[in-house]
Amino acid sequence: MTILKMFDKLDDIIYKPIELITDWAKEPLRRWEYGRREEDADNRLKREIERETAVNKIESEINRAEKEHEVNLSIKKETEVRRIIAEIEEWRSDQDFNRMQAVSEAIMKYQHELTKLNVNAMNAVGNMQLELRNKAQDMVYEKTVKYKELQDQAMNDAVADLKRIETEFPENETARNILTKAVDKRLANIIDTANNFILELNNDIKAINSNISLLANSGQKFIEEHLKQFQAVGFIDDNIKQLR
Amino acid sequence: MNCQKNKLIFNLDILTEGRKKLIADFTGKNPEIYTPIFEYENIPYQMKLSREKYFLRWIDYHWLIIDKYFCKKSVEEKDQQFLRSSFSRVFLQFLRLFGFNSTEKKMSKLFYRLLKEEINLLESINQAGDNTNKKLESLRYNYARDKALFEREINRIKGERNDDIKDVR
Repeated sequence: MTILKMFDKLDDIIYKPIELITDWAKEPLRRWEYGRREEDADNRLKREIERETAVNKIESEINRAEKEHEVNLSIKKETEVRRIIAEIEEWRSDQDFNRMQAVSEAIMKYQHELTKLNVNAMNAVGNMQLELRNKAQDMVYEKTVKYKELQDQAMNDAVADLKRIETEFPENETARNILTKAVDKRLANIIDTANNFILELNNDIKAINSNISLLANSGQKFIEEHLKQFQAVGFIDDNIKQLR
Repeated sequence: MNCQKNKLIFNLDILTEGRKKLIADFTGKNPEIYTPIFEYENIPYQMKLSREKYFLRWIDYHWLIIDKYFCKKSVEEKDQQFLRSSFSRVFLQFLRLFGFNSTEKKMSKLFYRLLKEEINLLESINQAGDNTNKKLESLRYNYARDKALFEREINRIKGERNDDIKDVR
């Protein structure tokens, strides 16, 4: 197999994880014609695929858990707010209660405020989540660019060194083999390690994203506290007593 | 009227203390400001996050100033609540600079909580960046070492070849 094909495979290995993370614009790598063995590249590709599969599995599990949590939370929140609003509606439809206009108005105002507060709180949390997620994503992008620079440099150096080996030792096959192997190892080292680091960073960011999802809890707690405050004040009971 | 005046004076007092803290941090070379300037000299994104984190912390610090103020002046519990509530408007104005868009006083409780969480999350994001920087540095070092070893190998083989030529002669 020619070096052209091997570099094609390396192309995949380098760019696949990067593509997973960012919308990195793919640019064609330079290709050179040198006779090389394909075995190393094949093994690396196999390892890479195995690792990616494992990472994807973990990622999808985290995503599932996150989504489930979000759905549960929003159901809980919706149910609680709806319950309170339904309760208020019930009070309002009550004949006795209807007569007490002052209380009725106060309750309506509260109902309106509660809905507004709920929407505002959810918007605030949502905006903040979006902003923080973007920040985390930008961090991944920034670091991926750095790794890519290093990988590109390693690739260019490898190509230059291979050319140099060909020119400097045209007659010495043993020397060419030893040096070519060294260049190959060096390049593989950079590509493998950099890819691992990008995946590790991606996992760190995934964990941070889970924590960002938990911000919804703050919105939930805020609304709950507000409801409790309303109940603790004994707003309705006291007002009814006053009116009586 | 008197009540309004008290509120205004209280808010101005707290803001003065806040500014004092800001000046002291800059003149006293607080590491939270100066370390990132050098540490992230070539990483503008992380410097930006650190700066944002510092200012969010500074806004949050005003509540500590308020606690100290109440302690120092032995303010009564009911007045404390009243003054805190009055400062929450100022707090909301500050936060508008950082994308917390609401002037509704009731939201200040939620924002207070979110602010603390945002500080922690910014810290985690920067930490993830720091970890990556360290790994990148070690990778650069390994690469430089491999390149140097390669040069040595070339020179060794060249040396052997020269020795062979000498032997033949």
